Amino acid sequence: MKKIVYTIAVLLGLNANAQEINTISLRVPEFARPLVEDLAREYHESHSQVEFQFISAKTQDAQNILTLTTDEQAVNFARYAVLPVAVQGSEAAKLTSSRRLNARKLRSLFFVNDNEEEQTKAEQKVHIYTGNSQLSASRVYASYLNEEVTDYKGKKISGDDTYLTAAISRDPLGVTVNYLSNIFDLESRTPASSLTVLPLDLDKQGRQVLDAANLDAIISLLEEQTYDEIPVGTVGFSYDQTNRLINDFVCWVLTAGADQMHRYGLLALK
Amino acid sequence: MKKIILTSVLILTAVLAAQSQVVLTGRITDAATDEPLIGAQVVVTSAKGNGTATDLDGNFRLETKVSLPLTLSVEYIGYRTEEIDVYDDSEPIDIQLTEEVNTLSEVVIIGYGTQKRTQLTGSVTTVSADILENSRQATIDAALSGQVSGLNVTASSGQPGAESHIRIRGGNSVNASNEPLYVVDGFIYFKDAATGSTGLGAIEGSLNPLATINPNDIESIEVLKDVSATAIYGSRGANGVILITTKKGSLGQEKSEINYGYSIGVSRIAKKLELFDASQWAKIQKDYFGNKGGYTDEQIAALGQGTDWQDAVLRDAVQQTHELSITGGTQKNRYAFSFNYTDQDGIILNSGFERYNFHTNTEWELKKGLNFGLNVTFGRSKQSGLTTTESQIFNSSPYSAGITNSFVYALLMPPVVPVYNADGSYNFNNPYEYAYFAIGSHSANPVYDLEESVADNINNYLLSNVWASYRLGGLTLKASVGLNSEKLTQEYFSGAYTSLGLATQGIGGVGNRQTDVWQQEYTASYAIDINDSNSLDALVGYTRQTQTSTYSSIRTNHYTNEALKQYNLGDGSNIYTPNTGISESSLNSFLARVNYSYLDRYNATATFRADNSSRFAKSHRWGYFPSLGLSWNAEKEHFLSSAYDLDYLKVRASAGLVGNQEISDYAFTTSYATGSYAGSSSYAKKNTANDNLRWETTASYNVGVDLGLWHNKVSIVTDVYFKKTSDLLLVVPLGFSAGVSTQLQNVGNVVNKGAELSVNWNLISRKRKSWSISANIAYNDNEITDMGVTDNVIQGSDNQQILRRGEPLGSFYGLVFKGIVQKDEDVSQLPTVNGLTPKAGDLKFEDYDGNGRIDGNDRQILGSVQPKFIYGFSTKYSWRNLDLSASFSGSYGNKVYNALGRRLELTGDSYNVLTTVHDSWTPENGGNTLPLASNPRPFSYIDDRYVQDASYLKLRNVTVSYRLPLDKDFPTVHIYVTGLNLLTLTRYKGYDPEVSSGTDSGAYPSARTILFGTNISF
Repeated sequence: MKKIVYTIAVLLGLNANAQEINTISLRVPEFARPLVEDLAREYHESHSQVEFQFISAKTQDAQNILTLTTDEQAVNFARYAVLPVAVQGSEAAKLTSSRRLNARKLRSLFFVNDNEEEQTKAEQKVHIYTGNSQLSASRVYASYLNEEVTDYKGKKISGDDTYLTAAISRDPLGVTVNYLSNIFDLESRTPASSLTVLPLDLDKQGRQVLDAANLDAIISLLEEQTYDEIPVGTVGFSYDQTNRLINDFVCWVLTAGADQMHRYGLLALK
Repeated sequence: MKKIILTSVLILTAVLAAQSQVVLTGRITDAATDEPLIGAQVVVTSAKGNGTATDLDGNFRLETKVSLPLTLSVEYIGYRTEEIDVYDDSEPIDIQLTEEVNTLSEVVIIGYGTQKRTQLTGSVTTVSADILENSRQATIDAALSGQVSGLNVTASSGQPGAESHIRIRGGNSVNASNEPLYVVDGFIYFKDAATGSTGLGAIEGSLNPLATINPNDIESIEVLKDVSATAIYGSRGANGVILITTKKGSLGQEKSEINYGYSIGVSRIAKKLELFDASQWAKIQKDYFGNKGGYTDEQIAALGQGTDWQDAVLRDAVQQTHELSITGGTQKNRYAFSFNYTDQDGIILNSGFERYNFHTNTEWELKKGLNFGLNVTFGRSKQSGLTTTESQIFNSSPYSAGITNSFVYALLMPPVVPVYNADGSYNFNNPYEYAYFAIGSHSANPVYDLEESVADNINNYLLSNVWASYRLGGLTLKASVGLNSEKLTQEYFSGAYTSLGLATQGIGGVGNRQTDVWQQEYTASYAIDINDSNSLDALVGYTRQTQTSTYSSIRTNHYTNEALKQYNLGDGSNIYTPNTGISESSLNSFLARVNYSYLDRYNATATFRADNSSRFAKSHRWGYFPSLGLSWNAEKEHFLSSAYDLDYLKVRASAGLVGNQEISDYAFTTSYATGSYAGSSSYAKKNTANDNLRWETTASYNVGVDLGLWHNKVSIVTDVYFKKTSDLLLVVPLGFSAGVSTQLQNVGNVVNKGAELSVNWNLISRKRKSWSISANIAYNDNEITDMGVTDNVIQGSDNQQILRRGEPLGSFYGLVFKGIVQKDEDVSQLPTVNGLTPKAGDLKFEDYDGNGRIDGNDRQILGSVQPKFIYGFSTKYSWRNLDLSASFSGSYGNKVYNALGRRLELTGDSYNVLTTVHDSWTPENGGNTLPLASNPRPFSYIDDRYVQDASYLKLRNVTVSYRLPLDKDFPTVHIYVTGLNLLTLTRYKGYDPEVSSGTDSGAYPSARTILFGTNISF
C-alpha cells in the first residue's frame, strides 16, 4: 500500500514539475482577464507546448509569473480608461444628474472636502465605494485627480473591482469608479448591470458620446481626446525579462494581440 | 475496512472544514509615513472575538469562519478606525490608517499627573515637539516666542546662549521674580537670579538657565496659566508654570529609531546703526568742537569713510549643531537617549555659545504594576560674552556715561582713528580719548578689547530624577528623588591695554558657584469610574525641595605676564578680598487635588497646597493655596445636538490663590557682609530683620471658552482673567536708624487683567497636503493699585523709571519734549531751564506743573515696558515631500528707553555720534528735534524722545524642508533651510525693540541667521 502511495506521489510530483516548466502563471485582475484569457488560448493553439494558469495575488510559489499591471514602466500593450458610475435610476444617479461634473467637482464628490459647508446636496448624500487592491481603478483615479487614496470618502472594498459594481447595486446611493471593461457588457457594448456613467463636463462631442453610452464610441473618443475628468493609463506586463518563455508570449501579444484590445474594453496604445 | 472508512470521513471533514475557513492576510501602515503599525487590531465585525494583531512588520493573518463578503475593522490608538468590506481573499489586504486629530481623546499633562482635555477646568496650552523642532532654536524660550497666547518672551540680548525674560499674563511682582516655574519631567526647575552669578561681576549678561534643556529632547510643553492649573504648585505658581516633558521611547516599539541631525549656518547683525563717517565727524569737530585734529576742509573731504568701528567689531558668525537621538522599547521597557552639540559663534568678535548635552529617559516595568524610571540630563555649556564696565571707575564711571561695554565703546570711537597701525599692530593711540579709557599716550582699542578679553560663563550641570510607581487597580503610588546639581564657573580677564585693565595694568578673576537642589516627592492617586455617569480621581502628596548654594571668587590685578590670562591670577600683585559664601533654603509642601466629572460633561477640580518656606519670617512660613475650577462641555447638551458645525464647546471658570517666594534666602533676618578694612576683617550690616516678611499672594480669577468647529478643523480658545497680587514683596527705603537704606517688606498690590484669544485652523489635512494656521493675541492691563506709604519710587541709572500707584510696573518717567527754540520765537513765554531763559537752538520741554521753570516736578509718565497686546502667528504648509513653515510674533504698545541712542546723540570732542545729529538745529536751517550741536546734552532728565515705541512684528522663522524621495529601504532624509529673525517691522530706533529690562544701554544686538541642515532617520 505504502509503495503505491509513494509511486503516485512521485508521478504527480514529476508531472507537476514538467508542467511548471512550460506553464506561464498569469496574475491578472478581472478587468483585463477576458482579454488575457483569449490571448492565452490563442497562443496555446499555436504554441501547444505552452500552458497557462491563472493565479491569485497571494500565490507566491508559482514559476514563470506574468503580472498585469498599470505601472507605466512595464511592457505596455494597451490602455485603460476609468469612469465614474452609479446604478441607472438610483437615487445616486438622480442626485448627480443635475449638473455635469468637471475635475474639481469630481474631487469634491469623491474625496474628503476641506470646505464641507460648501458641498452640494449630492456630494453630501451619495455613498462612495472604492477599491482597495493595488490595481484598483480607484487608485489610478485618485492619482489622476491629484488626490490620495486615503482621502476617499465612503467605504473601501477589498477584492477585485468587479465587487464595486456589486456593492453599488445594493446601495441606491452608491457611486464608484471603474474600468471601462468592468462597466460595459463586452457583448452588448452597453453598460452592464444597469450602470450609468455620471455626466461629465466634457466638450460637446465628448458629452454626446458619453450620453450614448456605447463602448466602442467611448474607446474611439478617448483614443483621440484626453480629458481632465477621465483618467487614461497604460496596461502592461511585469515579469522577469530574462525568461524566454514569457518573453515569447509577450512579443506575440504585442504583435498578434494588438487588434483585440477594443473588443475587451481597452484602448490601443498610441 | 471500518478503520479506512472512518479515516476517510475524518480527512474529508477536515478538508471541508479547512475549505470553509477564510484566511485573510494583509498589512497595516501609517498613511502619512508608510511605516508599519505594530499591534493594530484587525477584527471581523460580525464575529465577536474573531480578530488578530499586526506583527512587527505590520502584517496580519486572520482565519475566520465567517463567509465572504465580510467587514473588517482595523483599530490603532491615535488613528482613525477603518472599516473595509472584503469580497474575496485572493489578494493581501493593505490598509493605510490616518492619524486622528481629535481633541476629545487628547490627554494633557498637568501638575503631578495627566487629565483628559475634555475634563480640564484650567487654562492649559500645549506646545508640541513639532513646533519646537521647526523653530531650530538652541533654547526653548526662543522657541516659545509667539506660540502661546499671553506668554511674552523678551530676549535679554542677542548674545548666543543669553537668557530671555518670560512673562505669563504680565508681571505680578516688583522685587520678587516674575519668571514662571519650570517643571522638567516632574522636577521643579527654578533658577534664582543669584545662582546665575558667582559674585565675580565684570561679565555682561548671564547664561540662560534654560540652556541646559535641548529643545529637540522635548516631547511637549504645557503652559499652565490660570489658578486651577497652577495652584498645585502653590507658593511658586503665581507667575504661571511651564511643564516640560521629554521624549520617551514606546512600549512595544521593538525596533530602535535612530535620528541624526546636522545644521550649519551663518548669522549677521540684523540692523546696523548709522554713525558718522570720518569726514562727517571731522566736520562737526571743526564746526563746533575746536577741531582737535586740525583738519582743513580739503583734508576733511579726503578722509572719506575712515574707520567703521561698528563693522570692525562685528563679524559673520558661523554656527553648527549635531544631534543624535535613539529611542526604542520592548513590551516591558522603553528608552530614549540623545546627544546634542551646539557651537554658535556670536556676531561680536570673540563671543559665542557652546554646549554638549546628554539626555536619557528610561522606564522599566519590574513587575506587573511596578514601574521604575530614570531621567538624566547632563552636559556643559559655555558662553563667551562681553566684559562690562559696570564696576569700573576710572576718572569717572564710564558705565554711568553710557559706555557699558566694549561694543558700545566701538560705536563711540572716532572714525578718524584706525584700528591698526601701518605695521598691522593694534593702534592704542586715540588722541580724542581723555575721559575714561586713556592713560598717558595709551588708550583703549575696542577691537583689541574684544579679541583679547575673556568673559566666560561655564556651566556643568546634572539634572536627574529617579522614580518608582506601583499601580494596584485605580490606586497609584509614586515616589521620586531628584537632584539638580550645577557648577557655574565665571572667568574674566582684561589685559593692561584693554579698557577695563588700563587703570590697573590688567585685571582678572575666577568665580565658582556650586548649587545643589534635592527634591523628594511622594504621591498617591486614585482614579475610579463610580458608575457610567460619575468619575473621580484624587491625588495627595508630600514634596520637599532643598537648595544649597556655595560660591567663591577671587580677583587680582597688576600683572607682569598676561600670557596665561585668568589661569595665572597669582601673577597679579594686588589681590582683592576673596568673596565666599553659602546660601540654603528649603520648601516643604503638602498637596491635594480632586477631579470630578459627571457624564464627562460637568467637571470640577479642587486643589490645595500648603507650603512651608524657609525664606520667610518664622511666624509666616506656612502659606495655604486653594483653588477651584469648573468646566462644562456644553456640546454634549441635548439642546446643542442639532448644531452640526459645533464639535466642542467648553466653558471654564476658576478661582484661587497662588504665591511667590522667589526672593533671596535670608531677606527676613539681619545679616552682615564681610569685607576688609585697613588690612583687617570688617563687617557691614547688609540687611535688617523683618519679622513680618511673608508670601506675596496672587488671587486669580479666570473664565474661558474652548470651541471646536467643523470637525475640529477650527479650534478657538479664549480667556479673560483678573489677578490681584497682594502683600507685594517690595524694597522699601528705611530711615538711617536701621543701619541699612532699604528693606524688603510686604507692601502694596498689583493688578493684572486681560483677555486672550488663540485660533488654530487646519485648512487642509490630507496625507500629502496639509495646511494649518495658528494665531494668538493677548491683551494685558497691568497696574500698581497700592504702594503703602512708598509711592513714587524712582529707579534706573538715569532715573528713567518710576513705581507709582495707578501706573503699570516699568513705567517710564521723564520730561515731555516740545521742540527746539527757533530764531524768531518769543522766549519770554518759555519756562526757564536752570534759571536761564532758553535761547534759539535750545531744548523746550513741557512745564507740567506750570510754575514757569523746568525741573524734576515736570516729569510725567511716558509709557511703560508693558505691551498692550502681544501676538503671534504661524503657518505650516506641506505638500508631498515639501514642508514650508513660518512664524511671526509681535507686541504693541510697549516702550523702551533708548539710552544708547541718547548717548549716541550726545555731541562732544571725543566720541562718534549717530547721523541723526545732522538734523541738529542751526541758525541757517532750523531743525526741531536736536538742539544746536555745540549745546550740552543730554538734559539732566530723560525726555520722551528717547522713550521710544518698541512695538514690533518679527518674522521669527521661515523653514523650507524637503524629504528626499528615497526607497523605503533607505533611511528617511530631510534637508532644510531656515531663516531666523529675517524681518523686524518697528519704529524703534535702536538695534532691536526686544529689550527685556526696558532700558537699552547697548545690549548685544540681535542677528539674522540662515541655517542649512539635514535630518536622517533610520
